[in-house]
Amino acid sequence: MVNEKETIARCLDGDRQAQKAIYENYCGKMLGVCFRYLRTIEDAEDVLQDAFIRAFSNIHQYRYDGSFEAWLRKLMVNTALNHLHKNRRLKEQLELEAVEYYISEDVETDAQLHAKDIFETLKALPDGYRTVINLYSIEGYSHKEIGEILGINESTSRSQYTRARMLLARLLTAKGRIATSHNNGKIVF
Amino acid sequence: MMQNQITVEERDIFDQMLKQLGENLDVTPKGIGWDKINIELKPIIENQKNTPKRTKDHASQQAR
Repeated sequence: MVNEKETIARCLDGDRQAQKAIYENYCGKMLGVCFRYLRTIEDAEDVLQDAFIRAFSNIHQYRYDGSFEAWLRKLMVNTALNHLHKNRRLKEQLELEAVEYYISEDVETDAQLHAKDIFETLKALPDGYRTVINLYSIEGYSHKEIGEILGINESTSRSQYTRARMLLARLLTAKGRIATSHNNGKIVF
Repeated sequence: MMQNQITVEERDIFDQMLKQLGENLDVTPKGIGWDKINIELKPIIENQKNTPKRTKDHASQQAR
């Protein structure tokens, strides 16, 4: 894509070649975003398709006040969350997990934890946990913002995040990727 | 063995690792492509092109 600003301007006029160029430039990265929130690649591709249609239909809402990639990424995240909400999985799981037994556990690792192992293990988490980890750790939202996005309390988001990390640690321990120890409510890397 | 004590309340090395991983994740679509999106998008864009843009005068005329 030669000039993104120019390509976006052409998209505003409904130029198909410009839309195709934008799609081809971002589809891999954006499918990565969708796939982080959803369990299967089929669901992620459905969300990707919906989100790109929304993006091109509403591209006039992009105000050039941040990068286009960030705008597109936000749209992908919102569409993925809508998909999870529509299937009622997210709300049910957030409520269910809120009463789950709290696991206090410390984790030790040699700091060589492979990112791929974490991602694969993240996919195994329940939707609610995975969503909060995605929003907090990767998207960078605060717990207050996550509460507003998901319609839950800030404290629920915080506790979900803590539980998600504990569960992630347990799953990684079970895979033999890290060693755990019990000590003072801290996680040690 | 490198060990830094952190609490789960902070954005730490674990969050940074996830952030880096998440931002760099690139997955090649297999089940969809531009053609599929184009088919769905075409009528929406055509419709938008054919819909006259609302001006203030237009909106006030409609309100009357």
